[in-house]
Amino acid sequence: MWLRVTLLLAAAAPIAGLTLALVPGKPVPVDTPWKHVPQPAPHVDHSQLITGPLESGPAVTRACLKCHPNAARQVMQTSHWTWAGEKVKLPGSNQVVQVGKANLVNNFCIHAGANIEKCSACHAGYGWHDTSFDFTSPKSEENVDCLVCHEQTGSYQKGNAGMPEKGVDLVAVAKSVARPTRKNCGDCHFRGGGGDAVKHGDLDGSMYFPKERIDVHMGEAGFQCVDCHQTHDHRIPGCSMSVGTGAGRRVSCTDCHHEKPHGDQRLDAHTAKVACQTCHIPRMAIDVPTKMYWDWSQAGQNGRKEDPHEYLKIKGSFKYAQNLRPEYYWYNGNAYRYLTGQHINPSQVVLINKPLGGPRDPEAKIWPFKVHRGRQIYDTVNNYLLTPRTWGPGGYWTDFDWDEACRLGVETSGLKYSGHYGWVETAMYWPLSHMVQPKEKALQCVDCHGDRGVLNWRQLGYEGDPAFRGVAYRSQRVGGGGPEGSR
Amino acid sequence: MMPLRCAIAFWSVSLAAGATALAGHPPITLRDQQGKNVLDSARPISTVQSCGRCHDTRYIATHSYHVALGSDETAAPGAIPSGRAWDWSPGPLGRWDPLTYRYLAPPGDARHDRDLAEWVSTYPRHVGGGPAQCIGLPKADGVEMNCFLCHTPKPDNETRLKELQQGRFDWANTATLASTGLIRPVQGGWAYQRQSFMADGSLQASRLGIREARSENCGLCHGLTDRGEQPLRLDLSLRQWSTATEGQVFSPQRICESAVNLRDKEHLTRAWDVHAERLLECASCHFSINNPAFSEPKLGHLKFEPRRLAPGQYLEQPSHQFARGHTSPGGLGHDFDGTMRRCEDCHTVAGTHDWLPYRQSHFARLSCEACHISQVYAPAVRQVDWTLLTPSGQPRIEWRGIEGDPADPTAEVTGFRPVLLPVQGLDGRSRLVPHNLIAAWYWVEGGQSPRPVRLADLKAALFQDGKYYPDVAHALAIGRAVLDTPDKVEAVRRRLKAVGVVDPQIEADVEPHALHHGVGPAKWAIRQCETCHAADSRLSQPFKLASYMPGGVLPKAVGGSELSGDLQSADRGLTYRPSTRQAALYVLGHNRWPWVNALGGFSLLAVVVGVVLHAGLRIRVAQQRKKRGSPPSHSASRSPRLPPPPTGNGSQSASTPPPAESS
Repeated sequence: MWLRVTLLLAAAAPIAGLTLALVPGKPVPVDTPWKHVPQPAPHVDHSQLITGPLESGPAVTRACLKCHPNAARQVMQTSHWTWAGEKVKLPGSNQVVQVGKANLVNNFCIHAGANIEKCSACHAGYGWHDTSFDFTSPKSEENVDCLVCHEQTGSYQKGNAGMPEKGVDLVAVAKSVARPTRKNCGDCHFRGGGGDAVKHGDLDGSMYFPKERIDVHMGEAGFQCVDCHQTHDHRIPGCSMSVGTGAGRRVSCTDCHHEKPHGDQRLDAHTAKVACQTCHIPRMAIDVPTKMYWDWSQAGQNGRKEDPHEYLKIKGSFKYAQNLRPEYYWYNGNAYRYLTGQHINPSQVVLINKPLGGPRDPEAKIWPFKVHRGRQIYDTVNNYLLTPRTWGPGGYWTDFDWDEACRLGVETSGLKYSGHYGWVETAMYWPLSHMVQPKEKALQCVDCHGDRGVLNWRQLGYEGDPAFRGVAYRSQRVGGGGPEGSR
Repeated sequence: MMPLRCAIAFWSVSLAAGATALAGHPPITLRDQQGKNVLDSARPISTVQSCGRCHDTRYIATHSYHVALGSDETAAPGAIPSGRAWDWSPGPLGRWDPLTYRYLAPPGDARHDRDLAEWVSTYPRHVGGGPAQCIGLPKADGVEMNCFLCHTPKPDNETRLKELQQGRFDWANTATLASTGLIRPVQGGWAYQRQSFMADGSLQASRLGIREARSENCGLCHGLTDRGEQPLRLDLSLRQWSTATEGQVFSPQRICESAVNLRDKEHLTRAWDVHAERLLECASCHFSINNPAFSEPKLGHLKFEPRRLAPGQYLEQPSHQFARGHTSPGGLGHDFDGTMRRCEDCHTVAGTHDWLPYRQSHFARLSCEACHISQVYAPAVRQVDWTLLTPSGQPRIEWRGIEGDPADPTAEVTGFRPVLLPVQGLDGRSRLVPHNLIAAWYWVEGGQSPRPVRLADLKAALFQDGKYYPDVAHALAIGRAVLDTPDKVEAVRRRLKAVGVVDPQIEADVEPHALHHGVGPAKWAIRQCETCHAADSRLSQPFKLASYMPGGVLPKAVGGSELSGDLQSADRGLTYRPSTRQAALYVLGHNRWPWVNALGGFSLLAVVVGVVLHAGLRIRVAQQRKKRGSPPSHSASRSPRLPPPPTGNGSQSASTPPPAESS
């Protein structure tokens, strides 16, 4: 009996083995970046749902609200509508502030509030002419601009006060609405500061249809902005250091990637103190030059040759740079913020939004920044940055009179103008998170360490290059900002 | 001397702390050979005098095989291990080089190619000192060991070499500073820019940039090294020695970011050398052998050796004998073989090679380089033909790893896969190491005491007024202008005899050059088993050596390495085909040895026969027992003390206690 069983098993074994070998196994899952991205609901073709005539932007919105009754209320809670953030305690002090694009000073066009009719061309609403604009009442729901984020014809243009430009076929535009694309976001965010690549070092027109060499997520994987900035109730996560202090829900590499993704002990150890962006955004403004310096004091010179990348009479002189290394500073996600009316020391560079953090801060990492430096107007008596009106009647671009421009500008910002002005050096920090490169193009050891390294280790708070000295911090207190910040 | 000791002690602190520049180096006074400040004497700088005030330069110069170049290891011609019949030193001084045809005949040889002064003036890869200091010409003081060449950031090697070529040996070291702005050329020498010096006539060390030797200093003589700041370019010449002979480039730059017109470059995202990319310098592995930072216990029972030179002592007498490996053919400094840091001295395999089956077998037969230098991305020389000079008086040199004219920067570089040759390690085991092979053909004279035909004789034999002699030109008119037919060979041989060369014969050799640099990151190493274990294994792939064989002469291996394969001529060219059998390797999946197949077949047959026989017997025995009604015998034999199976109770098991009657 046992003999027969043994013989039977012996005969069956090869057959079983062959069967196992030949039967196709369960397919191995392919790792794709899309694995981590929620797939949106299938798009509904609106071409048959929208009927004209639609005589104005608010008329379009009213049509939208028939099927999406909550959408406008949701948008009105966001900073894309209010141009202001939540009330937060200012990092480093007990002062509670509510700041945003509307009331902050920058070193590009300086102040949106003083020029709101022009600046609100990028507002997700209609009719923001002046301070009387209604941000909150239900009646204002129809002023929410759905099209700027959802239209897909590419023909939609906004003008002063955010109103649709004449000639826009609002019916055609409204029929095209769909999930936002890079075009929708980019028309404002790529062109911040009045032109392509002016403000951001990592967002410009090359990202409408980026190649892989520009950004691995959008180029190779074909991501849209909203694939990472995943929106709920029209709240779009992400936090720009230029219009806030750092509070708010952020988008992070680790939303999709593992915290220690390299499969290499040495590289993974870096992630404790080095942001992913530092190595994976080795260069900024890859294809399109970005503005690095803006000297307003040069404006108004007659007869000087004009070039949008070097000098304009209305704006002064500029320096642009392309495909350049970022600067690197500690950053814990929060920033000191210069508030409108805050006193300055004119003999020092005014740090408008200095990143916070240092080597001993467990939340801080070394980040890449575009640092836009400039020279802008300030009140020499009151010692604060002024908010000149540049656009419109009496604005500097019209009359080339700084004194008058400042008198008009402070009416909106609430400052007092002494009648005496001067020029002061300023710096703004723009953390980089786009133009991400794959590992094959990320920074290598020699890019940061050794003679060729671009990092100033002592300025970052180390005793020297940690590749040779180990992680040893200098004993004295080191500012988180970097060159200016540590002064 | 005490203040100097203090300075050295301070300096040593910055060294020990891993500083990248010697910021603490004290000011230096540049002195001439009489010890006078050169600002006063206007004489050439003596590095022995200038640096020797703090450092023991005489000790340094006598402890450096870079200085001696074999002059301290001379022997009778032909007595040099792994050398040719006419070599009288293991180093460039007396070892003939088939690539450069540079031969310093042994002392007393009446038919010398060049004398010592001529050799010094034409040999670009000597740091001075040693034999170069003994030139003994009336107007030449000799060339001291050139500290500036290795210890300043931008030594002007080209200007130094020009001085040597012009025979102004005493100014050669001074000229190395030409790019510093400290000197300017004047009639007959160099003048010092006094305004660049301090008021007391000394010089800030930072003005010279004195520092430890970096890779780019080594690269001045050894091959292409750079720091990757600019897109890397290849200069296919013998000046970049290791690049020319081995295709090695020591640079942290990603290959795809270089300026080399390399095939599929966009995919080559690795660095030219991963160690350069990880901030290692040449001296990280090839360190000074008495550097206390690298000192390791020599006794097996010690983990740490506290008795070592203090940093200050080391800086006073730093040995310039550098740690080295053991695979360079016919090289210098064999007393220091195996002193270098090898891969295994820094890397562990645990955790990194767990995926590799039969790890110990692989490590016993393969060098790390075999898998980690799987491809070379720069061209290298494969053939040198001195049997017929080109009209410009140059040899014909063929390169591997490039398609088109090597002088054309747009020629496409393809790189090459090195050939694996067994090399005996210091532990006595042979392991496969990647190599480039260079075949050279040349004329030899002398019969019983052979030696290469002097270059001057060769040129005199071939050329008349800058053109080939008519009979040579007539012979070359048919086919390629190379000695690939007996008629062409005979035409040149007749001319050589005409200029007095005795019994000229063509000889040829193949010299292996081991590859240890150009290491790729782990992910670029060979991981596919079939690369070696398939029928078309790389271990047996042909490796082209030449597109033609001058005189039909088959080369022989030189340089101490054995070729474990066959040289095969094909299409008038020459190919080396490695043989795993000759390398005493049996590679699973690749080798097909008949006796192994026979043994395997026989074993299988024996097993089948045994199984069938055994099964048949058991079946037969079982049937017989069944007929007799008796239990199987093996049960009784294996359990002699067990009682017979119980009857009437099927549930009782073998472990059931015996029935009551047995107790």
